[in-house]
Amino acid sequence: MTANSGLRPGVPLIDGIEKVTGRARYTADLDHADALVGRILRSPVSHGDIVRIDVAKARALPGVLAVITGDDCPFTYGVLPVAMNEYPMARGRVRYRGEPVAAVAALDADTAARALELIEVEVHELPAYYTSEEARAPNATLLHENKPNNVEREVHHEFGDLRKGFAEADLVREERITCAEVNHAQIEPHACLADYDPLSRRLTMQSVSQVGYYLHLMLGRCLDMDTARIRIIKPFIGGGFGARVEVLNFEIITALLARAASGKVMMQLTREETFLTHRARPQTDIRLKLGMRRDGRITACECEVSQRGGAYAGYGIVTILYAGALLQGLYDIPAIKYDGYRVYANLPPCGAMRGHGSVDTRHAFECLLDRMARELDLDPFFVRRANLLQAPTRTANELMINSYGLGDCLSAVERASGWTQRIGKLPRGKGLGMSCSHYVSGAAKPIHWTGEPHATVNVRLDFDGGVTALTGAADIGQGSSTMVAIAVAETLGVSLDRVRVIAGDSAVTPKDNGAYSSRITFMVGNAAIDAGRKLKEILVDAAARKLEARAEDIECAAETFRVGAGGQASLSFAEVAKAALVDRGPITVSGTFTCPAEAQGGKHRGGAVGSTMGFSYAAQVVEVSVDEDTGSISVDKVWAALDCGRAINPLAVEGQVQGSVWMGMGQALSEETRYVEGLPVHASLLEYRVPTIAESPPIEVHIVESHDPLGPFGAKEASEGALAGFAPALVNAVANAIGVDLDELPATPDRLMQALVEQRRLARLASARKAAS
Amino acid sequence: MEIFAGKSRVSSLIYVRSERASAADSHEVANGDFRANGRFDLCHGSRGPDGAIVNDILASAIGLIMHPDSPHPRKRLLKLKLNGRWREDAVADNQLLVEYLREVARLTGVKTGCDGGECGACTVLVDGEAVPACIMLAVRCEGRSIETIEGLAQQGRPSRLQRAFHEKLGTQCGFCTPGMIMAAEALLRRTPAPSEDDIRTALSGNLCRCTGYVKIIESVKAAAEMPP
Repeated sequence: MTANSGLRPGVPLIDGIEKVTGRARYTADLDHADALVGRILRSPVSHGDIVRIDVAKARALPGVLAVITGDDCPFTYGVLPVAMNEYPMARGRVRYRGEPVAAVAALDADTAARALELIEVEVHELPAYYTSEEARAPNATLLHENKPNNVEREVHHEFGDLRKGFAEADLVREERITCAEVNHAQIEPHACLADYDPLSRRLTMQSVSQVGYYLHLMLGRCLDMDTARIRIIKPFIGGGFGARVEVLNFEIITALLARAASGKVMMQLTREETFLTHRARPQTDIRLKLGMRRDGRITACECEVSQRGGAYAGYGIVTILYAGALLQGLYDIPAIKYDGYRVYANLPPCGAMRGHGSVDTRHAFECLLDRMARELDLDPFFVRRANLLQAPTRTANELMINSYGLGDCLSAVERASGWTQRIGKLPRGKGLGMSCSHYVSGAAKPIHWTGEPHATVNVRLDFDGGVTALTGAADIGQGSSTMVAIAVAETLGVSLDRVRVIAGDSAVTPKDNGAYSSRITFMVGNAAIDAGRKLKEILVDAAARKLEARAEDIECAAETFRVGAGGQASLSFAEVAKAALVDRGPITVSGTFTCPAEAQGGKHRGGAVGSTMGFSYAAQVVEVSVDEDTGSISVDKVWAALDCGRAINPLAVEGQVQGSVWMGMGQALSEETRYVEGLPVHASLLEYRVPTIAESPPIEVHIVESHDPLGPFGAKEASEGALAGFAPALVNAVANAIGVDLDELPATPDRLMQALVEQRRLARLASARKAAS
Repeated sequence: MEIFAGKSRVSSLIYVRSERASAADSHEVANGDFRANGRFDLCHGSRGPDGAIVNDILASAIGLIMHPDSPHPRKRLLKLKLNGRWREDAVADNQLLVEYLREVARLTGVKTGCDGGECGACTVLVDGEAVPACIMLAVRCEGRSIETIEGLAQQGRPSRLQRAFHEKLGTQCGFCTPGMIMAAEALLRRTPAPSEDDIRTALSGNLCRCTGYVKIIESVKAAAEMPP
């Protein structure tokens, strides 16, 4: 059967009606009339030893049912088993301004707020560090005693012969590029609702998590509870982008409060607290050196990355590994050396954010590639084409590549943007820039090495003839439940509206590793197809019995089973479903997917990071107008092409590409977190400048289908791959427009003006020298 | 920025607000302001849907300052027309419209995405005008008509904007969607055939983090072409 025939050009989200009518219930919308109000007291200093926390007065306040501090939870939590160095509430020491130190549950919000004011906290302040450089200084106070120089993790990788590579180059250039810290800024502020029943000693948690399974595990750990007594339910989620992959302190705190108060606690963080919770893309310094031959071939790459990771480990190790590992897999580069440093600083912890680890190094790489192309008088498209891979292949760091549509992506955006006719012919102030990027379709090696399948989908069929797919995969707006429905419907040959998807309830749905690193389509999609096939086998057998034919002769299409394609005798889906239930009763089949060992990365330390079943590939062209008087850059149009293997739902793929390109635009133009002595001055949606509709350009999407041999219907990821290409394409377009190379993100008007002033100063200097000689 | 103190007293323990405000102000000057005026000015008070928003906020803040320990602020009977139906509720003087709609009327389609006037997720119609319900006091709606996302569908049939946002994928996570649709509804009522610029201006106070706005613009255009 051909996949998704009849479904093109894509279908709306299966939960879209709930969203547009206001019926969709997000966490804060859940009925909580009988719940207590939870609030968190946060550290007023960036770094210090806790001398005393006195909660007596807060406890004594009428209407307060629970007050907890770090003393109430002696268990660390975190996402990586090797790097859990954080308590839900600080114990002994606070390491960033805004770190939770205590929490209360009260009858109402005013009482909770007054209770917080009554908690006395005495802190002996320590020196605090807000840049990687300060934190790594020789005599700096250590944030964590076991991490010398405040470096959480160093990574040193070298593949191929670097010396030979640089020796063969006609041009070697080195640049330093800096990218500001950014934040997910999902529109839904963090919230959760925890319900602890003291009689049954069961905990039900409804939260905004992208990975209910991690939350489940960490609640078990931090509350020292049998995980069998915990149930995690996912309501509608208002965006994630990586913010909610890690378990977050407020989720554990709320569960602790619910248990302490023996009841139900609603915790709704303010936007400011949501920013403080952070876990996003770190401020990053990159030193990059490339060697290139006159024919455009890259001969060697040397890259040093320093990430200011904030006060705790979080995802840090993975981020710093990704930053190096994903230098590979996009182009054919014979030699790559990578040195990465993940640094602790007294700021909110960073974590995973869309394009995790790849974005800032890709930015530096694509900018430098363009500058070198210019120096060698080569077209940017030509240079990229000179370095294409040939699938199937393996990179130097043993990443598996089975499908590779980058060449087609390049052609698509080159043609659509009119690049060849327009480049070099635009007036000053107008510019075109381009860039490429890629991203994994899920990590082939899961973080928790359990030996279980990497994805499981259960499909039920009961007397009503309804097909229900049960998945733990969290739909956070990306459309994953719709994808599961399509995969099951297509495999079974039934209409989409026969399939109902229930997602994210640990009491009902099978465990899933979660919504991160774009794993769901590839892994959960394959598991859904597997489940669909298993159910179909049962149905076909039932139809064969009823039609008195052999199973291999049964054809099934459009909910009709018949013998042979043109057979006269036929059965409806409902008839076959009834027949299938005879003797065996209601049916549940379990479909699974496991990444084969050969996909799981090299044997070198950190080699599993970056390993995936398949990479998505993207190319984009950005057109800008630059105002040299004000330093403002406006994006006039973007052409983006993405190789997603196969578009299971083209409408959703388009939406994902537009969203990711646009998120890249925010980071490129205006978004940055800013701290003054650890004090966030960006912590609202006014100071943190998410682009509005007014300055957002048209984004034209071209879908390239390379048909990955292992992907579900040939599909790969579609939600992250295009993000990393935007910023370099923009910076390259600015260079094309006014001849200024920007080394810092975001390209705000002040940074552009500074670069323009510098350009004019150098021009004056050059002409003065010329006159003098 | 003191205006937010009433809403997040928790944070006032941590931050000296004036310190934050001055740091933020210097940030504005340094960076220039390319933000759409629709949203930015709202907070600074130079423009409001009915010119009275600043007064509302000040009244709210003053109310809290004057009675910081009073657990029961003064209430009055509020009569308004909500999604076409008149109702009366006892409402505290300092209750925001968004709190009234979500907690009293239980219309949770009205979303809270920020700490006040930043994101537009709570946009509702007050006498047909799009207003962020988080920076308007409920008591100011006496005798007025309030419409929320829940009131758009007629007998289970979604409105044309709702249909268009669904079919064209103008919604992804859906959290900004109710506010976005209400702002677009106000636009289509006053400008039945809007230009793309009209759409961009009308929705410039509504942030979306998923779509890049491309399919939102397509959705509004498609809705404008459907029969009402």
